[in-house]
Amino acid sequence: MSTTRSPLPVDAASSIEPLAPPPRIAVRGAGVSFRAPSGEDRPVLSAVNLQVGPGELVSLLGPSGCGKTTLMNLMAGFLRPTVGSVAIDGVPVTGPDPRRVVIFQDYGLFPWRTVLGNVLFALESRGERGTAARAKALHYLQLVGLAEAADQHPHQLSGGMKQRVAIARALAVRPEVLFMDEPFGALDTFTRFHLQDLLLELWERTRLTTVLVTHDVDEALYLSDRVVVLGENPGRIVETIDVALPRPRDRRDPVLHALRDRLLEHLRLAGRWHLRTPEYEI
Amino acid sequence: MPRARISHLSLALVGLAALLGVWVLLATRYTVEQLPGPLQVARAWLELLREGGLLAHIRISLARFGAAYALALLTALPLGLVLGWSTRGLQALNPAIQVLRPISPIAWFPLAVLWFGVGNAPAVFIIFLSAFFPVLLATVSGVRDVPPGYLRVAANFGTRRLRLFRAVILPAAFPTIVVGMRIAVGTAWIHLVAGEMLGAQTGLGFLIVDARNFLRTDQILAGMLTIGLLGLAIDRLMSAGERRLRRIWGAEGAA
Repeated sequence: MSTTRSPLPVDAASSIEPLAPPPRIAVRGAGVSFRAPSGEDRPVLSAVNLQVGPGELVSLLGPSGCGKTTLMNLMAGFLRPTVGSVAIDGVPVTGPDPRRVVIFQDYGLFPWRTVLGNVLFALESRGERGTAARAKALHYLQLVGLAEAADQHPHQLSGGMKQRVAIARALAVRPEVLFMDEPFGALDTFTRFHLQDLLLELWERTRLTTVLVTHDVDEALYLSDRVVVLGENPGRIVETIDVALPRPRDRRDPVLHALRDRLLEHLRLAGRWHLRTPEYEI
Repeated sequence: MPRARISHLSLALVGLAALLGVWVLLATRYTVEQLPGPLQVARAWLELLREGGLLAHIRISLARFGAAYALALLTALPLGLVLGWSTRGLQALNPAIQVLRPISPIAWFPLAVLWFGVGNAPAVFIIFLSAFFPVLLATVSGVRDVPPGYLRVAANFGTRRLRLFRAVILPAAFPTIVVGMRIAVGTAWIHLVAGEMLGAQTGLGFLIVDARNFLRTDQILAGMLTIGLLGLAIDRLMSAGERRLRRIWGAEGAA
């Protein structure tokens, strides 16, 4: 164990074997406030405590303006907390890192690159080049069923296909954590169902720790191990609901519907102020 | 579809015919020295072509234009990329740029002659000036307006500075830069004649000055029309290139 080599004085607690693997993501007492034009600090997120274990698929659910994207940006390193701390595997998060990749609602593809070129971009940023990188990129495109579209440009693809390219690009760098910011929000119902199933399939294969930001109650319930409900003014966690159902789940499962009612009730209570604040984008 | 195209073409022809009609009508009311008619101008054009060395003048004008334009690109593009990238650099140089930019290249005439004498150099300088600022400003804004989403993706994948510049910022800014380059071609071509009036002994601008000295109004108009037609051709060429680029870049510029 590395603790024996620690130069720090070893106290009694640290010599005890941990009973469970440490939480992969730990958010402790995190708050974010932005300075309003009037000069006062406006809290966007307040006193958030959240732990996401390795391989867990967690959804952050809430109305727009509840700070769920802000919370994801904290964990992904795109934003620093005003108070509190965010750590992944015990290491404080200080900035974005290819070990935790974010998938955005607007796909974030480069229009001047082909589908393959977009996946290659991620690999090239790590110094991977040549035929090996190409083969790897193609492999991940195959994984999302887009190998045939490798030479097309993003504007030739549908929204669902673009998001699959973004997923392939994210997986190609073999991240430890996958963040998804309303990834299917711009897609029609059938494409969304299809991509939700694709995401689950990939998640089953990789067991990536995944944090999904969504405002879609059914999506959160269908996909997640745990649904974290956020309320607004200021953004905070109001409830956490475990979804202890085996996968694949049936979208018509009455258990899901019971949970759905519970979630909706929490969302109604959380949203009773109706004082909307804009969703902050970083 | 073909019907729309035919009517488009015939409308253009009607417009041109009307213009020619007005021209002919006006020409009858003035002397040849004041306003020659279209036929006289056409004859003067042929005369210039056969005996006046029109092609040689065109060639030298295009060469000056090309050299000055290339010089403008070679200086404005790198400077624009640096200023777009470095906020401090822009803050330092922006006041100077904003003061120099609204000064018409024509106002530089006295200095151009003092600095470069007469002939080729002042002409190139004037054309250069007129192309420099549109390219510079488009490049600066192209780099500064790179969608933040692209930068976030690059930051996420740990893209290093140089690569970020080459693989993200440059291509993302390129469509904006190309627009600036096209505007610059237009303004530079407009100032070609002005530049060539500074003592040059060749070129389309000189041709017009020379024709004025001999009161050959028909040759003046022939020279003007040549400049107009060449400018149109260059603009068409540029916009064709631009369209091609847009197709490659994706219809809406962002995907």
